[in-house]
Amino acid sequence: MAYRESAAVADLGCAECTLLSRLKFCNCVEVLVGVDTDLELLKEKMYRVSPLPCDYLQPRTSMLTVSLYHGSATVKDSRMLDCDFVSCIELVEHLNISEVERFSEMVFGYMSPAVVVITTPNADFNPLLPGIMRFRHWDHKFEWSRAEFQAWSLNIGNKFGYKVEFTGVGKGPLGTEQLGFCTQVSIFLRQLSEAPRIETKHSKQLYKLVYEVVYPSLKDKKIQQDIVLNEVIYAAECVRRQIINTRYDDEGQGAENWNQNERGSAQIDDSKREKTFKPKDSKRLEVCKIDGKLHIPLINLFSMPKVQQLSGSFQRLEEILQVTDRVVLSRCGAFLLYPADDDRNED
Amino acid sequence: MRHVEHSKSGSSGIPVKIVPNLFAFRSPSKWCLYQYQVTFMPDIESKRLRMALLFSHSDLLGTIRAFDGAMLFLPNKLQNQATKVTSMMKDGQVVNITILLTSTFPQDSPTCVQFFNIIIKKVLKMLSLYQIGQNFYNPSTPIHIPQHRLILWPGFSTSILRYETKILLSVDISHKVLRSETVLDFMTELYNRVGDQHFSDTCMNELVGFVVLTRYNNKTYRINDIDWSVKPTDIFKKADGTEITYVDYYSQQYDASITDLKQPMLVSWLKSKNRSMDVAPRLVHLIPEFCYLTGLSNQARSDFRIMKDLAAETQLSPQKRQKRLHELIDNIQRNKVARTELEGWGLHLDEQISLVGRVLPPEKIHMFDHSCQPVSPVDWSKDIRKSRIIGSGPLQDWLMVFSHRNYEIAGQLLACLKKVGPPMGFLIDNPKMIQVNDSPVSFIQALRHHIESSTQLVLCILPSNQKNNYDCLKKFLCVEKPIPSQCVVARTLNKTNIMSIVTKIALQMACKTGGELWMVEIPLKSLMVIGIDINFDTLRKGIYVGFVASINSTVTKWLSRCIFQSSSAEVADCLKVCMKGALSKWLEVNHVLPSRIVVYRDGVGDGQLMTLVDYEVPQILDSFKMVDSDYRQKLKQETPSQIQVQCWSEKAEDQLQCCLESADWAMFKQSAGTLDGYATTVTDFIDKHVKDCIPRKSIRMFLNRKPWMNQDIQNLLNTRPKVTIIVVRKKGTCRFFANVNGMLQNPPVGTVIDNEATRPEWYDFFLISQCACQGTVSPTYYNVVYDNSSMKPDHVQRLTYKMCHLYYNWPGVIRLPAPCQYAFKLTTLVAQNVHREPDLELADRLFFL
Repeated sequence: MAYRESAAVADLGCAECTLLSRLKFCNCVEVLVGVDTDLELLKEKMYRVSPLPCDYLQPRTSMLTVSLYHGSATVKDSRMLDCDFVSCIELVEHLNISEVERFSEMVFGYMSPAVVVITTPNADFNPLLPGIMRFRHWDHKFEWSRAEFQAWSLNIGNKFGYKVEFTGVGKGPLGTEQLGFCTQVSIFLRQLSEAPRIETKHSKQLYKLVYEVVYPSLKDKKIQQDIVLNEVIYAAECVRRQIINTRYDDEGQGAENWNQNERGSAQIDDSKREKTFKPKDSKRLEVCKIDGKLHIPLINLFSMPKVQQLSGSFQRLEEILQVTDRVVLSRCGAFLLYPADDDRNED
Repeated sequence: MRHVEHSKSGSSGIPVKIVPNLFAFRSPSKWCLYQYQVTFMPDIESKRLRMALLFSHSDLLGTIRAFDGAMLFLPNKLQNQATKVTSMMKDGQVVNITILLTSTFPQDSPTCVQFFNIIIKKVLKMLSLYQIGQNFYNPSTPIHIPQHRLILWPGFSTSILRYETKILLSVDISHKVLRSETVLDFMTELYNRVGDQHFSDTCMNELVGFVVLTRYNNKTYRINDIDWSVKPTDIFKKADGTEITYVDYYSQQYDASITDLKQPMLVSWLKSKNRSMDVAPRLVHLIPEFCYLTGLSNQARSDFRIMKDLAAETQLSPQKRQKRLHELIDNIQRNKVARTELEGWGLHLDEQISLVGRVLPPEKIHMFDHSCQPVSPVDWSKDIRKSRIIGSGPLQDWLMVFSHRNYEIAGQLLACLKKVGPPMGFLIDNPKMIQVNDSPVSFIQALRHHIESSTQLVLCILPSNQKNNYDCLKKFLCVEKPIPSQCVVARTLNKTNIMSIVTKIALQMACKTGGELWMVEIPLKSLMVIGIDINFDTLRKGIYVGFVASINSTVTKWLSRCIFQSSSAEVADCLKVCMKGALSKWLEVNHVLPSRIVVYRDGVGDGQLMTLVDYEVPQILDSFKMVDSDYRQKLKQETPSQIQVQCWSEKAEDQLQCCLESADWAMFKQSAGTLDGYATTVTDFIDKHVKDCIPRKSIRMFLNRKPWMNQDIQNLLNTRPKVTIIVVRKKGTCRFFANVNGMLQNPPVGTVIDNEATRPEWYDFFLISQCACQGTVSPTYYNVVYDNSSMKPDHVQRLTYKMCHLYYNWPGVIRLPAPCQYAFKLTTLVAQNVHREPDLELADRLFFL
């Protein structure tokens, strides 16, 4: 998955939404879908996949939409068609044999994603687990041995055109390696690069949407604009503070007294009074003060790493600054105007 | 309290229509919550399965239900006391379920109210609001304050409570303050600002105590420490015992890369779930890069610009506040799921309630020789500008200390003081002027050298408002050489409105040397008013209890005491000592105990009310015994003196009359040369006859025996003061708007609310005694927790309002009764600047203003 730029992932039988709540951290995942037959459980756990408070403070760079559906993995729903990755963790053993048939038709025939991961208990391993009567869980309809599972998987692979790999999780104690893993896993990789488009793919929506949330993302123009503006205004504020500080330092050394000069000039003619501040960084342009406003060149603002990173391009930055009413630009559009007044004495 | 059983409402004042932030419910009459015990045969362990099995009977239970695995709550009564149903598991096994009714709760029962609060939280979650602490916030409509890197999330604090007549939903506006930068950004900026040398210390100071949000879960952590020795590349042990570096862990678990590999780690102590104290708290290390600060630092709080910009966003006018409240109510009503849930439990949201408050009559302000009815109770400085203060001794022996740089300012200040002092009745002589260097050490050296026992006051002109310097001086002048002191920052005197500033300084100086400024009419004779507040000292890890008591019947002179308690509990255990001191002082001044005592107790935390009633009230009541017996003891110790008294009787009077009538008065006139001699001889003659005719006896005379002392007065002396104890609360979620021609405004100053929004189990009321220039006023809540005085509620309310007029640092009403504000001021000075109990020498003056 890590090699893909974007991915849509479905978890069939998502239960407590544990896998989904982990997958939402993957930057490449843009669509997450969870399906389960237990509506009460979904309602109780759905907030596990809602954005965290910090997702609003620092929005993702990519999009993410999470949807939870009440439905069965044996029923076809057209909203499941665009998934690239499907996981079915400890799901198949809860189905009757006839349901397993419909399930594989739905996942491999109908959805036909690029990758499917299926896990199920390994019956060979059961002697190592104390206190098991028949199956590990009351609702299990069967538990397959490795031979059974692998045979079923290979059969599916052949039928729908998937390459199959086997692995597992949960090692037994030393000396029991011949029993395999506690849980067996098969990974199905679609052999065709494009999903086959079968005419009969209907567009029925049989699942019931329980919860859907769109994560805040920098791809959202409004959010990007707000965040970039926050950085720009903060940068301007820093410039203002820096200028005030240097002025106070000057005063302390008995050099030029800015306060008085300013007042004096204000009475004569404000517009004639100009003062420029040489930037320390030679790549940046000068900031100047006209009519009580600092004129900060946009190029200076763009040179701030955070502004650059968030806006992406100088053009986009210009665009953001032009459409907002949170900041004022000079008529030529090359400078940001920021109030220069020093209200230090107000307290 | 029997005298308020019938009614706790007052009567005086003009009625005013008030809209509170409370919403009523339209509920079906006799609505009840039904609690059932659910058992499964055979027993099922899994909670999930229990739920699935039970909820398969939705036709019986309905869709509105709450089940925790054992207890089932339903809004409707099932037909039978016990209901038996069967469910079949997927493997064909049959499970018998018994649903047994155990309790029925009426809508205003505590269980029901508690249950409703859980429901309302569920409903707010359905509106996509986030719970942080107790409140709910909406992060998708943030308010940006980018110049300070702050973000505000608008939100609500809600609760359902049983109010005076019914259960109501209270909704108040809340804002969560967050920083839009990570802790690492914050550290980097700090590093650039303070440099390498002071970085780690400053960093600890700034960050410890902050609550952070992390990027990867929904929890908040308090920063307790910073670990400079651990780096993100270090290895830690996971819960399963395997080891991994922080960098790898975050990259694997959260696809998050740590960019700065040299950042230190934040340390947070997790509260252990089992509350035994022996278990060491579990430590977690947090990566600064993945943490966001919430709330404001102390530094930010004292930053005028930040607070101003924050206030502009958070202080909402009544009109705007009302709009936001209704937005939430409308959102609940419009959200089908949320509304169904709420209404399923019998909670049909209704209109905002309205009630009638009263605006208490305005108070007259009495000065020395002038009384006035202020134009506005909010600020009467203009009304009293040319009046003399009630009383103040002349300031004759005092020091003025200033640095060389401020020589001119000092001269100017003195000239102004001498100009404003006399018209207000405060005579100021020339002080001893002392020039020192800028350093606090040099100030203290000068003080040590020049303070004498007769010094009344010290005035220091500080070169800057650095807290350290101020702390040193105050500590020296409160503890080492206890002298009232006035500190003025030189810069404040550079302003244009210097005369009004100096007037304020002069008034403060008058108070600090024991002066009284103004008073209001107190109809109760012999009343002692006490204010108590508590403040934390983070340095000494304990609390300071501030105690301020009035010591004269006009309530213009005060005695203060500040005592350190090393416990962190907000309950005072030194009240006996304080009370004893106050009563002894009162006896000394007034010769009898006060007939009434009213105590205003501020600084009570939520849920501590009962502790206070159980623990502090007895201390106050017990103190009279101590003083009584003490006082008697003192009388006994004084040896009575033997004196001769005349016993005038009718017979003796007749005899005297005879003697005087038979005297030859002309003889005296002839023999006396001068008028003086004549007078002397006549009086001597009369005296001699009085001596001869009137019998005498010798009696024992006790100290304090006054000629007017008789049995009635003796009885009065023996009666204990009547006591009223009132808990004061500044922070509450109740808000009141006055409806003026359909426009919502802040209620007028002096508005009392004692119905509907109050609680049935308390003797309580709200009083708005201040003016909010910006935003919505927050009313002060008063709860009379003890009262054996039988004072009428109306009188308690009016007395409280009068007390709000007596804070000498501000010529206007304030939000608290003056004794509370004094106690607050005292503990703030001690807990934040002095860190020691001030010398008792200063107790009878308002030295802490």
